[in-house]
Amino acid sequence: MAKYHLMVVLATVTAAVVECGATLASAHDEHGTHAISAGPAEIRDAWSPPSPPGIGTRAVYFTLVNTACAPLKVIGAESLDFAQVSIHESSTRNGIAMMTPATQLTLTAGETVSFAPGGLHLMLMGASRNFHEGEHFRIRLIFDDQDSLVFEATVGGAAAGGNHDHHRQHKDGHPDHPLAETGGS
Amino acid sequence: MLKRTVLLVLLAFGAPPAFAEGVKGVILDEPSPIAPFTLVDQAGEPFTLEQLKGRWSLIFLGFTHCPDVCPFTLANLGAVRGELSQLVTPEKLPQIVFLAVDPDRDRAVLADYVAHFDLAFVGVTGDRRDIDGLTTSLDGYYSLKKRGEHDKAYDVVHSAAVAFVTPEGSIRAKITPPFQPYNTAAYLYRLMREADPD
Ligand SMILES: [Cu+2]
Repeated sequence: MAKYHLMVVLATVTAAVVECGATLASAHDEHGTHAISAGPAEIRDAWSPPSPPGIGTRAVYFTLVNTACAPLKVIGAESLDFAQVSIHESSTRNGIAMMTPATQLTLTAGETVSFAPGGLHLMLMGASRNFHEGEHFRIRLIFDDQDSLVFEATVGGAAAGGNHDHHRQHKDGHPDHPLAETGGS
Repeated sequence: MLKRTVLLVLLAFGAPPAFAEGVKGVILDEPSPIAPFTLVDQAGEPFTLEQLKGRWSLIFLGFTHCPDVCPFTLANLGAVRGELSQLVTPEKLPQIVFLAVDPDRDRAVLADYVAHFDLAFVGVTGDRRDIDGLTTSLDGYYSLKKRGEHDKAYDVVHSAAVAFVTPEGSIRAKITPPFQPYNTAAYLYRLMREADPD
């Protein structure tokens, strides 16, 4: 049986464009203790398709929202569970499917970008172990100002990401254990 | 080169717009016969031209370590097959064949890989020469992007098209993403009906 299908239905973008700075206060209220950087970013519905055992490569999809007034530059990603994480874009040119690494990705103020099957994805290689449906793993998205956002991806179908939103946190929040805490909810 | 005509299905069949709308397909003027080949399936059984005879097949070329496009395509093809099962009897359902072109990595995991998507899928691989033979028949393409002898995480650039093969073993059409399940099923069903009105 197919564990997931109809992935053509891409994550629905529900982001409302908020006024610059408006989310600063709310993000702080909701998620309490950590300092929030000047430009919050938000990740929604992060998921990774289930895969058969023995395949250490997987893709992660989510919706990334730049809720800040300034452009947001993503320069990379990392995970303790994988040897390498990169930003990739799949494309079909002249009938040939290929993946192109993106060294950086810039979101304009308020912009929402969908990482979805057949297009942008985080490509994770060299898994430390097999991941089963329903399991989570953490990924850190790194921005050009050295700030970053840690989020959890759920192994499962497109709906697996649920409603977990992750907000960007300031790097000073947890300097010693970069991947030891999740952002947001 | 295969002689082909690029036609929107609407033009090709005069179908109502809601039917098979937006399917990117190339219907061959003349079905192109697949040359004999010898591969093995996920269970290690021989898979040759004979296994393409007597039923329609959808053949997709890819590799098991492909994290994005291949799982996406296979999941969609499974959904297309599901839609087709509403239109044809089980014995007329096309078999879905995944041609794994990266045997060094594919062989060991092919059985699990295929079962993961759909137990009805067939995964085939083999020696480079035989893989290349079928690839050529499909008018397909692939290239292993190995960056050195010890590179284990290389990408494989490959054709995105899926070949629709007649029960005689000839390519009738090639379809390219997106494979919207309902519309693609309608498109394929028309081709099947055209060849065999019963
Ligand atoms: Cu990739």
